Amino acid sequence: MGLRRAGRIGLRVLGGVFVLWAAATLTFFGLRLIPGDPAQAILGGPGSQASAEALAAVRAEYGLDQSIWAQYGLYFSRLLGGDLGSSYSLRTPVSEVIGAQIGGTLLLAVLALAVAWAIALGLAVWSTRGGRVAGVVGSGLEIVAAAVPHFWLATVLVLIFSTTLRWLPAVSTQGPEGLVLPVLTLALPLAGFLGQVMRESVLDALDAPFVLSARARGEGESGVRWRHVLRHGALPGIALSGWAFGWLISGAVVVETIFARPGLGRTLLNAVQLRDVPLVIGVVLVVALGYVIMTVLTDAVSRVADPRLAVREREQERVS
Amino acid sequence: MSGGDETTGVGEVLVRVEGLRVGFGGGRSGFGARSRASERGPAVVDGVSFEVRAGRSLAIVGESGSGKSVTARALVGLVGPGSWVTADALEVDGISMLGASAAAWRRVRGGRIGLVVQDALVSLDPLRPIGREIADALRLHTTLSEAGRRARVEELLESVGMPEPRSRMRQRSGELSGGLRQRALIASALAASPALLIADEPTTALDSTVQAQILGLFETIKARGTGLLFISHDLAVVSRIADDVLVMRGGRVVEAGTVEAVLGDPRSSYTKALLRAVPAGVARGVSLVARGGSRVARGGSPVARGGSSGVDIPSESRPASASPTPARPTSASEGMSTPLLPGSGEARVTSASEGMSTPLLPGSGEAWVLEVAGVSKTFGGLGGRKAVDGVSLGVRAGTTVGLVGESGSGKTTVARIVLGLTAPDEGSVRLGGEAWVPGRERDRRARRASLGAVYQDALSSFDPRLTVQQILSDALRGQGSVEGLLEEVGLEARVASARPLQLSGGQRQRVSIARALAPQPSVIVLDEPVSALDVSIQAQILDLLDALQRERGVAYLFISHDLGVVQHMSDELAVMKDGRIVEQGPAASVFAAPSHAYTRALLAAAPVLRTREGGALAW
Repeated sequence: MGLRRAGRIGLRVLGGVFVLWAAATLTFFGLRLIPGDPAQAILGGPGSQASAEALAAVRAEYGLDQSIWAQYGLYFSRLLGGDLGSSYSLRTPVSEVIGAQIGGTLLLAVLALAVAWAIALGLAVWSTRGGRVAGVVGSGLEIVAAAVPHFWLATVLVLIFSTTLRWLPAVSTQGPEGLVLPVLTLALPLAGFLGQVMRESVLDALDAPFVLSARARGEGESGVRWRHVLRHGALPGIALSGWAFGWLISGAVVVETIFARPGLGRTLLNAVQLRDVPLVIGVVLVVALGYVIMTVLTDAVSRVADPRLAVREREQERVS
Repeated sequence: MSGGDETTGVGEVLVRVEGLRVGFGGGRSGFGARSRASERGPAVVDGVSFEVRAGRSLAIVGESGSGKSVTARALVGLVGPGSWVTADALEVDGISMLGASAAAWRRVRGGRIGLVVQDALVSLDPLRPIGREIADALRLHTTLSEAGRRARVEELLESVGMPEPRSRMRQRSGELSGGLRQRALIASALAASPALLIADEPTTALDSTVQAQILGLFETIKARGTGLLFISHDLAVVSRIADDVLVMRGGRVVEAGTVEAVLGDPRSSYTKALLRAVPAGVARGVSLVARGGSRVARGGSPVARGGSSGVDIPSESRPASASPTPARPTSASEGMSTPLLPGSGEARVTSASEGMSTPLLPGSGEAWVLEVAGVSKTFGGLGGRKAVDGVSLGVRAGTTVGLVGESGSGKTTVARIVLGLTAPDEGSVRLGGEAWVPGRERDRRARRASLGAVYQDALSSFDPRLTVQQILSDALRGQGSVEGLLEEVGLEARVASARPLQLSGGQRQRVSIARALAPQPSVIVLDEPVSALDVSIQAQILDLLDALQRERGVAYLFISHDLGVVQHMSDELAVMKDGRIVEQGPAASVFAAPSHAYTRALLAAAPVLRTREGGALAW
């Protein structure tokens, strides 16, 4: 039914807009809770010896002398006009700062997602194929990987591959070899998460009657896995990828800092430390927008990959 | 090349099995676990021998746990991980498959033996188009090009009676009805022209008209010279399709022979008990378990409990008395196409005496415990599907109204409306003469006690963490004892400490009946209460329901797709199709002289226990 479909999409868009508004608003008020004077931050941080006149001038210029609600209204009216404002600390438009930094972070996140997928799916399929030992090893690896914090993993990887083996640079360089360790740092814990859910559905699929049916047709072990089980194993991974994207961006804050990589994550960290309100909100908004887009995208991909979802939705409507 | 290129003469032995034993390794079975003889668990198939010839059909009959499916899967080397298989002989096309390599088994599977696995509804990959699934068998066993495979798939779908095969082959199984899924599954098993087709319960999940079509398809396949091995629990289906029958119980062959010999003149008491348990054509009120002339015992012990316990082990299905007295006047209907006439003498004559003309429409002065007046329900908003369309029926105190229809006919929606779980768009329901639906749930709650419900899937209707004791004492609300209730439904007191997962299917259904009975309802809505049960367990549950009705005077709204069951249980009958009641009246007269074309089609499609000569069986 076209109407219902349009309604569903409309609802999704509304939800996305709400998420963006909520993210910007929470950030706006959240930053006020950090002690310190924003005018001071604009004039070079707490260490600067700004005169009272200079501070007053800055307050007037940025509207900081008005009530918080007036500032909120002012900020949002600009935002609706597409103006993210300019960074306090960098003195350049926020959109320019983000535009310069977003590429590196997106590349990092997308590569990490792809690598995590490959590891998770490979691990899930391999460890359900071998005997019980492979199963235990597989699920053990997944749990450890999922539990490891980024900063620790990054340090260990640097110790092994840079300091000891000297294969890869410890600090991110322009070339592709500089990407390996940051990508691995982000991908391994994610692969642990994804692998756990994928293994579950691989096991379910292996027990499913349609797999027996395929074997009864004469399908061999690898045929069963490639043609049937792999798809079923991938389904929950697709559904989780929207969430994973958000998780990767927050991981990028740590990873970009450790490997001294330019990117949104490091920009965000610096901006928070400098109380650079427009820049923080700008980055948060862009990340939230990316998250919303990824969620809608994974939803759409899920529906294509699993036609049963649409059927189930219809049935749920019937029952309710 | 295609397996079908090898010529197979009619009557040639396709598969020979001697002394087949199958078991699952002791302890936990893991993937690829190799059990040594000393670690072996008990055999679930124990010394089974048979052969299947080209153009003949062998049916293996048995209840759950009899080992019939495991036997079938042993023939294609797919018993499962952690299993062991031994045999004196296991030959496919005269070649021994004992110790055969994995590759040799893969050539047999799909190539020489096609297997239609149990549960057609979930046996095709829901993520792949059915055309691909069917083409897989061709890819594995033939040298056809991709275009050639596509053409062959279309032919195959055509040959199994799939409408519009060209567009259907691009659909996934979820987009197809149950009958079409079964056809696609059969096409995939037949794709590489195997000499033998094994079908495991191929009609169980299907509506009776669809079931009849699928059985017709199997007859066609057999006529083409393919050997058939048919696994079923349904004796009526077996009597239609099989040349030879093997009755299995507990992993052993109880009885074997031609269908005429085994079903017409059974030697073993187990086969006799199985035949007796078939409810179709058995008069209202006659016990199925202890059939031998007597009615269901009225007081005391309502069910034949086989002496020992209320546990639904197969031994329960042995007749309490071994008297093989014929109970049904079946010979009277010999040679008839619809021998569903009620037994004359023993039928409870409630329906006949209570007005034949408009018996189900609530009228004046009668003791209606449940009145449904013109209820309609449309799902999916404007332009949606009308699931229930102007349904009216009434249930009198202490009687049973059977509501029969195929899947999608709207019978479960009627049940939900009656139970006050789905609000109808139009119409009303009165319970005990007072308004019930529409209304506020808050007003209904106090009177919920007078309306019980029993569902097909008893397990999922219980909280798995509660014990039977807790489930029943919740339902009793301090009125009566759990032990008394358990005894009434034929369960031992020790069942009270068990949780639903620890019970057998029959025991669970007894508990759910007990739960429905606990608040002393005047009506119980039974939605497919025996559809998931084995015949002998089904017979016990039906007997129990009969006895409880007699003792307590409770009325039933009995919903089922199974005509035989409904005929045996109902005083009045309503036939539903596409949301409407197309025919209603006293059960006896509807079955004897159906007036609506759909009812006649349903009756004609219902598999009837008979020998191939067309005569009903007498024993």
